[in-house]
Amino acid sequence: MKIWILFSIFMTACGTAAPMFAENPTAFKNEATLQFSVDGVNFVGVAAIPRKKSQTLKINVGKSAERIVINTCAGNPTTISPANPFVFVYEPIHFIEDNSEKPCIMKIGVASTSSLALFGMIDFYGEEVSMPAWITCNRISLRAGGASICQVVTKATTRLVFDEPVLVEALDDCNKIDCKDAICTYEMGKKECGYLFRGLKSGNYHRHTVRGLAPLEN
Amino acid sequence: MLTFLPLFAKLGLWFLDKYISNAAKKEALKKQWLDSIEQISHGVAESAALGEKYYDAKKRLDAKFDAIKNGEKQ
Repeated sequence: MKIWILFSIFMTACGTAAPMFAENPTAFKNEATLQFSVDGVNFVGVAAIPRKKSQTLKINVGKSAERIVINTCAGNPTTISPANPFVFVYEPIHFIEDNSEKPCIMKIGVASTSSLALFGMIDFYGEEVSMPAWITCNRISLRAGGASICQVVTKATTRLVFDEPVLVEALDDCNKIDCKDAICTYEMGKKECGYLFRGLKSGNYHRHTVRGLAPLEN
Repeated sequence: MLTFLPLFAKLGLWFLDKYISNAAKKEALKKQWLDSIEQISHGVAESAALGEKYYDAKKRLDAKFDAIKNGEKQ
């Protein structure tokens, strides 16, 4: 009987001392696009929106969100156990987040207790970029203002058509872009990338950022 | 009762071993999870770097643009 009591105490102690991390966390095998709205307008994954002094973001983080990271040039604020939807009022910091020379593209990452990581990207652009273009991204064509963002799978081809002939400069490590007068095409590489265009007639700029949909390497 | 003592001892050792291996597995999972969190933070922590890259690209683009415009004038 005494042994049974000792044995029970031993087993109870084992149970109590078990690690608190009893969930079933796994590394993120996949990433998915984040759904969010800016001032009531819905977006999936990416968005290029004219910058205002104050904009309200409503981010659909899902039920199992563990934390959300919102990165801008001004910092990397992280919220643990965010509410769903996560509501955030974005007021760009003058000279840092509304700098016309150095764009400040917002990146959002959500880590959940499932094996999924959610990512989003928003370019709040100002008057420094004002040349519009037709963008064909993921077989969908849309008219973009001074900036555009495209989220595509690796090796997909994106096409930009401007109203005038353009010059282009790619950011480091980007795939080559071919421009003939006003039409430019490129094939998506694995990474995040960007291209800056300038109209030969108007001298205006267009900023095009691209993010791959390749799975995370774990 | 003493006859069952070795059996209880073996059972105890078996549970102890199972507990240690589970704890190690959970620790490994926790580390993997934290690495993934780090990966997410890193994945979004390049906003300023992207801005710098665009700044450099703009300088190169402007030089190209100016060269063409100067060429047109001559």
